[in-house]
Amino acid sequence: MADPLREIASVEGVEGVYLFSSSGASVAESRNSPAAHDIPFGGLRDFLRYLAESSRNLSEVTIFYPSGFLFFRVIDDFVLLTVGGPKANPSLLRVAVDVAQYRWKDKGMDKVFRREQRSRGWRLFKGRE
Amino acid sequence: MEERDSQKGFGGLLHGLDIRNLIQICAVNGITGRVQIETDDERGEIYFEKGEIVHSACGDLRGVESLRRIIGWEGGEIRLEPGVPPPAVTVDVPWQALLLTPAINPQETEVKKEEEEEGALPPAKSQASETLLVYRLYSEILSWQEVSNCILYSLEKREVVRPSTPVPRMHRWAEALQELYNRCNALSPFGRHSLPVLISAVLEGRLWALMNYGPYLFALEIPRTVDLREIHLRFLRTAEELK
Repeated sequence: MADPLREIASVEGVEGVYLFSSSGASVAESRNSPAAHDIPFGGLRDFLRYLAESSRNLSEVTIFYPSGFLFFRVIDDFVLLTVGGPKANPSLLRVAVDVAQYRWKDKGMDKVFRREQRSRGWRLFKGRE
Repeated sequence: MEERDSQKGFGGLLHGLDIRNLIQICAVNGITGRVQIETDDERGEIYFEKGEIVHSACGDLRGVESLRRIIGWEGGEIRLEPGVPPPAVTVDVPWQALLLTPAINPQETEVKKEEEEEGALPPAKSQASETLLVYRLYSEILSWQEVSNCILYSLEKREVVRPSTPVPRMHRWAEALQELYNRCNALSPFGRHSLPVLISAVLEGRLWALMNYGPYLFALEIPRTVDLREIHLRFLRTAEELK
């Protein structure tokens, strides 16, 4: 089965795309950079839960750092995280996510991201539990 | 003092009162109305709303520049007219900060202008306090065409400081955005010491850009088509220029 996150991961400058459930469990991933992202697991999980819980009010967050950005999008009961490097364009990424989100929701999120894909853990993130 | 109109409450003519003292009296007492100041050859107006200065006019000057001119006057006749509404809102700076603003002396201004033109002095720079700078930055941002809302939040006081009379939903937005800001700061990707330089969020369908400036948080509501990094650069440039 084709990687549903590949379309977003192929946007220039994107290092990795991850989809999480509202509880913070990893559902799917697609990454370009072999390096692990140094996001503390506990902190990220809390942040994902916070976003999922406030999804009615907060639907998208982008955090810019000197060396890149994190783009979060709340999609139904899921939270999409895209890690962008210094060359990534957040406006182009947003359009790519809009298009992908429309497609996924049209097909059904559960169908697009099947259960077997949800076995992946937090291996990309350092300091995981 | 001559009582002009007892129907309007406290009002009338004053002589020999320092303008700064007058501003403090009106502010502390929560006055709403107009103060007219007339010297031998000039005339100015200051409008108060619940103790906050909201408008000022003097000749061709408006807003803070007009106030600075009026504060520089050493004498004159002062008329208080409670209840008179302002024709416009040109001042969005707290009266405390305005009192720290150096007054403009007309003669001094002329001399400085001449010296600047001759190259004897560098362009005059603001000597205002950090607080005044932040309020000026806020006023400047409000004039940006792409900004439909701007909230200035004090991270120390944990309250909205601008606009001075925020509507209830602004408090709700500010609380949500401030919590988001704190949570984003707790994440440390790209190295342990990485801190966000800019945060954007879609809250209740509105796009906000969050930028930190000392103990303050600026939240700017902007259209989705605007380049966030451009807005951030403009913010930094404007802050630098105002310094």
